[in-house]
Amino acid sequence: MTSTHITFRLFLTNLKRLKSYIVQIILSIVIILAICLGAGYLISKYLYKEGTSTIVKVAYYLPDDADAKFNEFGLRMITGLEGTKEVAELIQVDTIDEGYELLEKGDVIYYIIVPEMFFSGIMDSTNPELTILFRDNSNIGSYITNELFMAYARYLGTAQAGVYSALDTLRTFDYPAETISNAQDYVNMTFLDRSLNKDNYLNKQDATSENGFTLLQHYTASALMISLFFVFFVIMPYLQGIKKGTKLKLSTFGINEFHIFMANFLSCIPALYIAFIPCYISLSILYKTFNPLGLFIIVPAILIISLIVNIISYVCQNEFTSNMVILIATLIIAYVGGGILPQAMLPSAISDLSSLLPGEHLIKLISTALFGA
Amino acid sequence: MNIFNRLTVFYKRIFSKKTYLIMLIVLIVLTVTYKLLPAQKKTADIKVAIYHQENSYYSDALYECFSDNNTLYNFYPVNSMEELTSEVKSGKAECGFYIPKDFYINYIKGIKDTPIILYDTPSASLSSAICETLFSLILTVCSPEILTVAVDATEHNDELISRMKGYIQGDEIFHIESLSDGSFSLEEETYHLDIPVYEIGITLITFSALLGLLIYLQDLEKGIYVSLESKALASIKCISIFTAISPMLFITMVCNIILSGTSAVLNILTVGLIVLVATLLLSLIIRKSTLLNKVLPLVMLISTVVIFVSGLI
Repeated sequence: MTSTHITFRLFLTNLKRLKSYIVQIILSIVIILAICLGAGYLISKYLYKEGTSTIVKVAYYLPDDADAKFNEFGLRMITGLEGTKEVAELIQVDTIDEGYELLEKGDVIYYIIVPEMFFSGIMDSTNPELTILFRDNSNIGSYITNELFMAYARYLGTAQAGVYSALDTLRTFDYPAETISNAQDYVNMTFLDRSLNKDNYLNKQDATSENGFTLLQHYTASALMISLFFVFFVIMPYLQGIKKGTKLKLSTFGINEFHIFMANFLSCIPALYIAFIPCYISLSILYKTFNPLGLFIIVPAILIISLIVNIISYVCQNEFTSNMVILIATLIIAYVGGGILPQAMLPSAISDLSSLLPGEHLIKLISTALFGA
Repeated sequence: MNIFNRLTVFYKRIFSKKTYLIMLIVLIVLTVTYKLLPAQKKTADIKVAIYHQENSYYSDALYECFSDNNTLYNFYPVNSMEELTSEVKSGKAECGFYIPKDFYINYIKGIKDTPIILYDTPSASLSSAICETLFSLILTVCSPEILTVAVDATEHNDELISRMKGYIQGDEIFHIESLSDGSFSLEEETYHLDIPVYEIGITLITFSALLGLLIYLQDLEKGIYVSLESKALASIKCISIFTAISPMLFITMVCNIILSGTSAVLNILTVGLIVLVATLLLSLIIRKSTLLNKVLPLVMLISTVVIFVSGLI
């Protein structure tokens, strides 16, 4: 018999031995995956904790004058803006003194007193002064509110500049009064549209996705990768099964360490595939996705995992050390590959290493196998 | 005296384990390395990343506008989409804006086909407020051209633009003087790069306890304690686990004191006690070293997950 033939026989024998491990493999992968998935779910949920910002209370006084309708309109505009909802709570006071009392008690941080004929003043460029009083402008909340005031003033001032410029130009060139009036309305509407309807010019996207997959999908793939590595805790006696005495006997048939390594490596591939199938089915059901190509895409990932673990098993020579090295190596591979923290959060020196180590590629392969491209 | 002798013997045994020594050295080296790294200044700057798909007159004008207006937010340019999302994901930027190629031209004309894309995370709480500042500045930058579109008198475009710029730069239009100094840059105390020494230390304490139990079980199976009574066996078991835990506990405490002061010392002592009790309870279930060998990785996995995830939560 040639050494190749004996290696093949050794591989077949390994496959037969694998039968007795199937139940253990399936049970352990389910348990390990459940633990890793639980951890992945918690990380994806708590990694970007919901931000909380302090709502700054702002009191305002509106005079009951001929501009009341404009004032109400302006107020509705400002309270409707997302920025206001996020940062400030507006409280209307009936008298100027009431606002001062709230400010004195510390119930509000800002107090805005709108003067009489405020909007008319803007139209005729007399620009009556708006009084803004503040109790405390030292904390971040008050700085942000200040920034918001500045932004609203900028909107208003720009629209005002637009109207004035249009009126001045058209009057200079002696346009008819009706054309000037229409142009004034249109300029007003245009600047109002750009100031208030900015959501039409803005799309929001969650930045937390990794390689096109949601954070939860990414951590699911990482959990599966870690589980496939950790299933070797069960298979390790199988890999370490060929003891020194057996090796000596095999050497008389021309079978050396390399042949044994290859036989172990090849027989680990079906073992890992068996472990992958129940995970693939359960995760497909959980995410309501079915990607038949995934059954092929996973093969390179299985080959890489099998190779890494067989090298560790070969170098370590005993079960306990092999298990511990696999535990540490897996955590390092997962960490550097962005499987524990997103790569953007890793120190630059480590994230530069990512593409050189298998973690990142394994997670991408597993994500694609589970959820498609 | 008997206990003292046993402690000495077990300390000698645990320190003869290469794995154990490596763990201790790794923890010390990790702490010293990070302690020697240069500190970074932590500021409360609110950073906002901006990526323009194409540089143009408007993009340059917008950056000029950022510096002229001295806003609270620190808008800064990035060179690619990957960098933009990475800055947001890592938490370096509160949020990021991707401004596509034809955005300004379409915004001026009122066409909504090429919107700005705001990238943020659930932890970003100021993105809407930042949007107000950004859009108010974009409106300022684009306002002369918006005006020409609105008035629709092409022959007077130059006049309109000139007057608009004059008004924007002048004092005749409505504006608010800033109530604050403009930029908020609260400089906090310096800090070192985060390294989870506390979590790593606790994981290693757990591992040490299991290693202590493993040594005891292996000795038991070899028949070393065959002549001892159950009370003496229990005492040896406790000593074996204690001697495995204590050096690691001590080193973890020292490392934490070096990095973050004495605040975590009590916590580490409590965890050490809990691990000791938990390992003793585990020893009632696991009585064979081979079984412990098999379940050790799983116990370590669960402990690692619990320790790191609880730290995150």
